[in-house]
Amino acid sequence: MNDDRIEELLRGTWQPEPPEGMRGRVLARAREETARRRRFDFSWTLGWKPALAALGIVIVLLANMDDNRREARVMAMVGGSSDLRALTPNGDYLRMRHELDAVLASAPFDGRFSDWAEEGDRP
Amino acid sequence: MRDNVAEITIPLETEAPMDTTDDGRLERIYDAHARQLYRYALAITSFSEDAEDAVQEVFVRLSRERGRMARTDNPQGYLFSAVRNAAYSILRSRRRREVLTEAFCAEFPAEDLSDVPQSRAVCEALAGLPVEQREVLVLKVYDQMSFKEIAGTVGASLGTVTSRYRYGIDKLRKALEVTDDE
Repeated sequence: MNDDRIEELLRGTWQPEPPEGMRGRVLARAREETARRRRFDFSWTLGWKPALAALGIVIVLLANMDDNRREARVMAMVGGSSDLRALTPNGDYLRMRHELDAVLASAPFDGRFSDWAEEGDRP
Repeated sequence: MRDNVAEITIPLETEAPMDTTDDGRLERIYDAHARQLYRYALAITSFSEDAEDAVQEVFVRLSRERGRMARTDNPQGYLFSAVRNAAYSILRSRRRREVLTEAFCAEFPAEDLSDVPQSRAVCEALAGLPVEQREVLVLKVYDQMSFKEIAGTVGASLGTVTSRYRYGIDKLRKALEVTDDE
């Protein structure tokens, strides 16, 4: 039996056909996927601009907050004033500075700026 | 016989504009290729429902990756390779490597089995081949692919594909000659 005869037998006997209803099932599922894809594309096209704007606003707010904190710290250090409240549990830096000044002013002053100013006073 | 060959030849007019930008085209692709893709998937999986799942997977992928097939040089090869990947994936996931002859031979029309004495032998011989040989035989015999095209589809060398065909056809010959002797 030669190859051609075997091929002929194969073609003549095994002829599988797609099952009934397969066309409808396959195409329906493919259409479903197409529709899902279109919905995703549409929502992404529609949504990326507001999302970008919101992200920009958040970045600006965070940067602004950081600036405010830095400014408050600097103002407290140089003794200036700021209407911004420091983000510490004990109040703002300016009030703390004033309290420290009051403590220093109430302490007796013997004319020396440090107990270690003279050699003999070293413990 | 010639008519039969003409019937299973892939219609060329569907190859050029194949992309999947609309449902109508998807339907045209289905009408032109589903039968061949199903047969090829069945040759790999042996089960009708698995073959349908493989074809389904390919069409879902076509909807998802619109235009991808149109960008390939060989749309027909793309379809066959895609269905092969899907079919082997199903085969692996379901651990159905063995072929159940009954499931495979269910695709033979009952009247053929009784009318043609060799039908049952052909069916069982085909079912008994390793899947790699069976898929090469199906692509060569039914889809009239050249060995080069088959090699491209199954991702093997030309020599490997040729020898798989050779082994497959020899096994079929032996099985059929035994039947003739009986």
